[in-house]
Amino acid sequence: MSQISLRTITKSFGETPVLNNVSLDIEEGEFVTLVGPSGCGKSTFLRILAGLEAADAGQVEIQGRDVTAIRPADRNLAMVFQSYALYPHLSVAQNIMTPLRMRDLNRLGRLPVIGPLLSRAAHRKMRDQVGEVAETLQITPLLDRKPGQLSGGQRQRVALGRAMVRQPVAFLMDEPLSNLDAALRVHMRAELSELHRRLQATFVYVTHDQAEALTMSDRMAVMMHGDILQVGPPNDIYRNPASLDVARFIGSPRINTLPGEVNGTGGLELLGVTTETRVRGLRQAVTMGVRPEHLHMRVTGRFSGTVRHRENLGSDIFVHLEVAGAPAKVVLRLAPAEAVELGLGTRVAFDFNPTDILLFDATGARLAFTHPAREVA
Amino acid sequence: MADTTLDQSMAEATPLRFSTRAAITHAVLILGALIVLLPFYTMLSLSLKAPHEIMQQTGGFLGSQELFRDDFCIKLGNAVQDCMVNPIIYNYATAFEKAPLLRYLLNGLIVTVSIFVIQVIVALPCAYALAKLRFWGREAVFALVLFCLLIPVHAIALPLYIMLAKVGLTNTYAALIIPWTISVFGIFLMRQFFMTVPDDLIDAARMDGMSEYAIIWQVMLPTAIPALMAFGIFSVVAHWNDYFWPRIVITGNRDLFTPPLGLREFKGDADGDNFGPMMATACIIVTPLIVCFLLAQRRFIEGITLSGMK
Repeated sequence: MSQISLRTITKSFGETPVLNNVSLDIEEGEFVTLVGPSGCGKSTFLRILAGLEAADAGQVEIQGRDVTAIRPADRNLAMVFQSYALYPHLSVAQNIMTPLRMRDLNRLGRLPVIGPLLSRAAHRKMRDQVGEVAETLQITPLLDRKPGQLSGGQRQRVALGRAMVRQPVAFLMDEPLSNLDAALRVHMRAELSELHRRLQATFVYVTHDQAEALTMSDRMAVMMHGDILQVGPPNDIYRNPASLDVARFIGSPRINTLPGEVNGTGGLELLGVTTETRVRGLRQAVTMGVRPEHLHMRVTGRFSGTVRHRENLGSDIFVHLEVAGAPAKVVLRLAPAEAVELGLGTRVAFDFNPTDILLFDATGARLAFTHPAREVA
Repeated sequence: MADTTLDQSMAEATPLRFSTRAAITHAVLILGALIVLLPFYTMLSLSLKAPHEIMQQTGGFLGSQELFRDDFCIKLGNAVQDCMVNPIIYNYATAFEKAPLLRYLLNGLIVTVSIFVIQVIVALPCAYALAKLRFWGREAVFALVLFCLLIPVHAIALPLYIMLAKVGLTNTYAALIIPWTISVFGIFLMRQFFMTVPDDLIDAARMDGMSEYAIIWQVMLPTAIPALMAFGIFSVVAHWNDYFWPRIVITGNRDLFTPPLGLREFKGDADGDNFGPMMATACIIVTPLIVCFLLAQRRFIEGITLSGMK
């Protein structure tokens, strides 16, 4: 039995449907990412799991208990928000202590001056827990400061600390890195993965950044237009996307798509070239997808285009080619050594390995294909 | 050519250059300031002068500060040399003697503080609900709040008075306080401020286990201190200075007089107006507000900018 399961969640804001019958099971200790373009309903899905939003229909179960009608605090989940949402008037230590105060102290114990005197033991225990968390996150020197005096990265850690301190069933994170600058974001990506390994806790992470999803998650769920299109390990989704939408969303630069056609004998025709790839089925228009790293510059290449733009990333160079008959520029990933002589306007011949391509039909669904064994180079 | 234009632009940049525009602006502002300050000048000056100087408009700002004969003292049968008094001491001493001015000041304090505290207790939850909770009819309720902002106090004074009289509350502190406890202006001001508080903060508090009331008092109240200060200034100034309402509901009992009502003690008595002590009382009444204003000058200006009022 999975630890968290959401079943047939439906939600609409007024007339606008946001989630259509979405289901997802999350195992214990998993790092699951919900990824999708903005407005796809991923944040709403997370908020329904947290209990901050009520679903129109469907059920939320946590550890086998139906929590659909239970208020957020009693679900024992912790959430990290995009804006961190720290209490501006409380010190870092008090911020981290707040969830403990609300859970472990009664009304009397929470009183400002008398409280600590009445429940001395509870207060000492709470302070120790805060100290431990601060130690883990290396924010002990900041405990007496106010959130306003912290940098973005430090606030991020405090928000994590406030989530960690009560050892929740799962951590929910709503785009927690998007307010950080690029370098810090990459750094925090590694740190979050590290934290996940150390805590062995369940993470549910929402992001619109496919790079975050690919780098951190055990499994990712790609959401679009209020539906989960595909769930699986990042590698599977990258290599084996279920639909054209998923293939386009995951991967940067985007996958190259070329219009093609299946002719009467089941052969695939691309840009006037008949390939050896065989598709079972009728004559139909198809879209072929191939990732930039799977296109190779080759003198004997069957396709050719003109260099229109070069993107130098240091380790790789992305060359944008204008190809006759292709609606968008075709992007090739080249090693710097290969691309030295490719000035703008150079004519380049390229090709791909027939096993590296993906075929989609007119509705965007994947098409199976075969190719003669001898062609596999 | 290029050099001369450069010189000109540098000359314009020097701060000491005479500017007609700035001069006119300052002239207008100085004139305005004088008009506003003139009553205060008169008030202070009259509170320092002897009665005959006030009547004959002599003696400049301070008056001659010569001892003068207190006629009331002589009527009581005292010798003339015992009844010679200094005008400043006479005016301020009479202000405190003839009316229980300290009592009035205390009443003013009790009333303004009670009103403000209860206004906050009512306005914060209302403003929170209007700003952050989704419920049926929220917009209609907010429209009502805006509508209530338009109703002048004087329009509802009579019904209010009749209600209080029927319940038997006239001539009590309650009559001075209860009608003001629900401040639509306060609700409106706090609601506008709460709109700027990020929703994430409230969601975080909910995740941490706070109830909605706990969120109001433990999260919203501390973040709203600047707005509350602004509202507090408006509320305290308005009710400290209010003459209209206390004059209606406090009819006989002098123990309940607020400071502005105290001014009446010197007006229209049988032995004529006694301007010196009256102005001394006025000075004493405005002093707490002026001191508060000087202490919280920046907050006050912030408050006015925040509410967009003038």
